[in-house]
Amino acid sequence: MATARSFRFSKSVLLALLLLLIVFLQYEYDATKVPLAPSASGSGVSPLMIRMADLGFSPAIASFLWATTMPEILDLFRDRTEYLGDEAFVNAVDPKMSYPYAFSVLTLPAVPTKAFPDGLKDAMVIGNRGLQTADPDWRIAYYMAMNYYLGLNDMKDALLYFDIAARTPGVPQFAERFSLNFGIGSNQRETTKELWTTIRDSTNDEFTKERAQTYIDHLDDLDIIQAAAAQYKEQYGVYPTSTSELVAKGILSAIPQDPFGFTFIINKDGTSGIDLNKLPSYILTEPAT
Amino acid sequence: MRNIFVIAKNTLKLEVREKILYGIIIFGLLYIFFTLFLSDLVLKELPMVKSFGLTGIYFFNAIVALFLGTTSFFKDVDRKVVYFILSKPVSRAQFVLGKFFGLCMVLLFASVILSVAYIGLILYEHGGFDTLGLLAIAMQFLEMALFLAFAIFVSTFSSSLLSIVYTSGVFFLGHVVSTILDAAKQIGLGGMRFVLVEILYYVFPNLEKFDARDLAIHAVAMPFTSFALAVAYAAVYIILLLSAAIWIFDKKEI
Repeated sequence: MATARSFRFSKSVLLALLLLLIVFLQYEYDATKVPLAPSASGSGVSPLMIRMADLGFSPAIASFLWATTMPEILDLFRDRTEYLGDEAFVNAVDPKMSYPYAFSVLTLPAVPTKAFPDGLKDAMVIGNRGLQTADPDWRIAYYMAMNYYLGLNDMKDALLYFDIAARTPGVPQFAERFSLNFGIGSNQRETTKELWTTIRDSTNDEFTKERAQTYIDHLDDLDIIQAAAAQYKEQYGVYPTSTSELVAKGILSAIPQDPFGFTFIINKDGTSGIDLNKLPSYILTEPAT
Repeated sequence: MRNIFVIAKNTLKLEVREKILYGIIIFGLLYIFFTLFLSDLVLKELPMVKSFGLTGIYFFNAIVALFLGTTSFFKDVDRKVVYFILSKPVSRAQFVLGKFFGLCMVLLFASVILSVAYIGLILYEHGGFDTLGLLAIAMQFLEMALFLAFAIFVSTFSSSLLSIVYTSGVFFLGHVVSTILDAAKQIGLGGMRFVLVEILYYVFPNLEKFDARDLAIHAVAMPFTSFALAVAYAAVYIILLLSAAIWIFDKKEI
């Protein structure tokens, strides 16, 4: 009888200990938990309510909702603005899903101005929200840079956003090459250099300062080669066909080393540029899917 | 040990003959096939395609676990199989453990079929071999094993219908306990009521930690310690539930 009672007691102690262990594991787990990305603010949807009911299905729910929201972009042509609210809802359900942000940044500015005057502005608001909360996706920054340049004539912000796109993991070859060399054409180079100089001198952020200096060095190298090519023409009557001729004829002591690793070329009209057939190895490496 | 294995094997044999299990698996496969169409709707955006597939596997596995966990134990009692087994040199603890491992094997069978379809889908959509997706499915399996243990535990003292209600309740609450605690903190709940919420949070099965789908879909970093603690949590909770189930079943007159 006493043995049976003590057996029952030890069973109860075991169960209580297991329960305590569960509490301890939960406590320890919480210390290692990665916090969720913050939801879009001002969407009119309570992220708490969404998470209360999602049972861990939020990425799939967001994807389903996105499939029905995407076609609504066409309704903007008919002055119906449900797309904006629904897109914000999708962002609130899964703030990390990057495609809705990228799609909005790309397409909203294309909506006719009369019917929907704030398309460009809204695109930038959504894009910035995406850059803060979504998975790294080069398309968001790349399309924003395009909008700044083409829609808002804002070259300075275009440069900054192209730089973000170039630094985003998984950026494809063409986009990285284009982003790093945006504004290097001989007709734009001075303006680009001035803008990067302004960025460098006006920021307190060390990383941005360093990055701006790298772009300035890249542009300086192009200028050096172009100036040397002009000097070559003065001396020999024709432009050199390659940068090595500048060294061979003693105009340059060495070909400048590009900070981004590109190979410089001299075009037929004497302007300098980059060799598209000899890209740096880090660009040639296929991005991870 | 041998007895547990024999009961587990027989449970597997018995359950895989169930037409309803195949029905659920076929629906799961159809859903994954339907994901091909859904992926066109979202312009083949890979994170979205993965979210559809992984959620489908999770949903159909949950149905399988709910169906198996809440019916299998009762069927044995109903069909008097349990009398036959317990008349042999088999303890009640061995019977409960055998049932649990057998049902886990059936769940694994369903998971493997759906996972193969999912991996095929991602390969077809040029997403490569989704290793992180498999890891997320493994974590889902762990959650379902806990879910099964709870269903067996409930089955030892309640009716089949109530088991379904309790187990579904645990599934829902297990995913919202974290949110309830956050909400309690946000609204500044204090005193005894907050303590009660905290007790609920720490004692109730917290299933959120098995959601590694974000890892596969968004490549959100999940520390190894989190994985290890989640596995330990599942193991300890399963031991607790099965111990309690054995204890109750031992006392039960059949």
